[in-house]
Amino acid sequence: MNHKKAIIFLAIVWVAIIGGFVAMKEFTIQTGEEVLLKTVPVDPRDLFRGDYVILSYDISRFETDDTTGFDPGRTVYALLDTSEKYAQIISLHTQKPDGLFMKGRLESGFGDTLRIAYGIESYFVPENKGYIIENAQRKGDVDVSVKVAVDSSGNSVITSLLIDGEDVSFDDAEE
Amino acid sequence: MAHQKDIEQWVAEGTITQAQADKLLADTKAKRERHRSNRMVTTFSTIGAVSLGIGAILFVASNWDVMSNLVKIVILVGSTFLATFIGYYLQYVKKNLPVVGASLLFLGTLLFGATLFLVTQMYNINANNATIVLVWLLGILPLIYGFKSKPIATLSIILFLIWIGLTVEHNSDLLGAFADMSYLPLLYLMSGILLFGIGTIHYFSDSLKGIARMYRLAGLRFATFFAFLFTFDWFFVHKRVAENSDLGRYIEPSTYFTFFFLAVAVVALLLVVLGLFFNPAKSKTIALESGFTIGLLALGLLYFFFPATSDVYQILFNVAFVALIVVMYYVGFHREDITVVNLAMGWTAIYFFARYFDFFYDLLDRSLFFIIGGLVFVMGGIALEHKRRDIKKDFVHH
Repeated sequence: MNHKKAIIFLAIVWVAIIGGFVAMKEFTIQTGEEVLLKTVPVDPRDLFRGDYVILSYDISRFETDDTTGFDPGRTVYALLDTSEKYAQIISLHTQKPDGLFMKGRLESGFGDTLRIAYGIESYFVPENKGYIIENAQRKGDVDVSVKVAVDSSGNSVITSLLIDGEDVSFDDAEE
Repeated sequence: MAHQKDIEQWVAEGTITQAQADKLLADTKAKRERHRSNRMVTTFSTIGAVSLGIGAILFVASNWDVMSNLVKIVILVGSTFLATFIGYYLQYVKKNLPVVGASLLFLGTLLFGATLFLVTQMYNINANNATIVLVWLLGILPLIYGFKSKPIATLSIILFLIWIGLTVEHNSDLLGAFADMSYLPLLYLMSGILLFGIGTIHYFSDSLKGIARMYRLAGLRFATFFAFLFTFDWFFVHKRVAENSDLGRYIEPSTYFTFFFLAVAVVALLLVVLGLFFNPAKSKTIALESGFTIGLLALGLLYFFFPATSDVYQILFNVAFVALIVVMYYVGFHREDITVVNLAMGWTAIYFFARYFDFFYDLLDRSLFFIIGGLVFVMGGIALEHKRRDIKKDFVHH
């Protein structure tokens, strides 16, 4: 491969990787149905990517009497009920169900409780602004939730974090 | 570059005339100066390139909230492509600033990684860094193969090893985490062998020989380091836990780790076997190094699938490590490869130091322990240095 061909190939690969990734996420945001999920944040720090909070959702756990076929690592589909303020799981499936569902990965199963990860368990905040979420939590009696876009394949992307129903803003926040 | 002593000797022997000697000395001096100046340019341009990259990333980070996703992506992707294409232009099109060009190309690979991390952050993708590191690694491969860039090949080795560790960390569940982390050094030993195998495969193409040697040496260094760790009893988790409690038999790595470990070992084995049968250089040392590598792989697999609480594996790994040093000496001498001989000498010293500490620390009086140890190692160091110089000279003359 000569140098000119190599640099063109490189450009194609990089555009495909970054562009493809952005396109997939934008597709979910633009075409997806908006769902509100109740969450509890905890605050670790990522060595590579700075401040973020780990979000644990009500829908991260599902209790069932029959755990047959639900092995850790398996892709699962959570059928959602959005009639209430916060979405809840109606049932968990190993095949795509009819209706609004979110795609996840079964993390573990303890007894009849299954833990599911949807790939939306991290929320990144600007450096040194994580205290806004921490302070809200410390006050207690506050609702922390996230708005999520869910597309027809069950892929989901967080669009915003809400405290007591208000979008969290990190603009001009002083410590 | 010829040394002054050698040139004087050639004049004395009548191999060259005084005029030729003067010319050789002048050329050598000019070459050294050029080399020094090149190093300075490399240092300055690398610092400059890295500063530019950090600047672009910090600019986006400090204006994170005010910028829309589109603006962030344009700035990040723009600076990544700009650095890469200016680097390419200076090094391969204009060819007038190759060192600065190489630094910018390298910067482009770093910015590509930073862009990946920041773009995933924009969409709040889970902090699964292993996948991002793998995508980063795959994204820089065209630069390694297209431009035969050694700094970028070095980056790929670092990314590969980070990816292995992060994959285990990310996929370990609560119950298997202790066992998975305990087996991580063994996985790294296998990964070192895999890297060595990847390097061997690159020897199949003439144009990739430079990269092949880099991968092989990195794999050798890495595998040797982790094989050395297994000469200590602390790294045998079943034995360690069994000595403190009866939990030893419950230490089971997770299913994911087991599959990942097996996949690394099997691919490493395949590459080593391919290297053995299809390496264009038909040296008998290839059979020796391949045979030994397969043996080391087998020992690792045996320990992983049939662990024991006795000392048997520690003894076997000590035997394997000594054999590894012997093989390195043999291959190094046979191929007149001073880097491999140096590596063998370095590990000989470290291994003897470790075992001296193990056996005599409790037996001897502390002062006596350090005096005897110090004397042995200073004398050993002098002897090794003399031997190393003789070997190097011998290799050059042949």
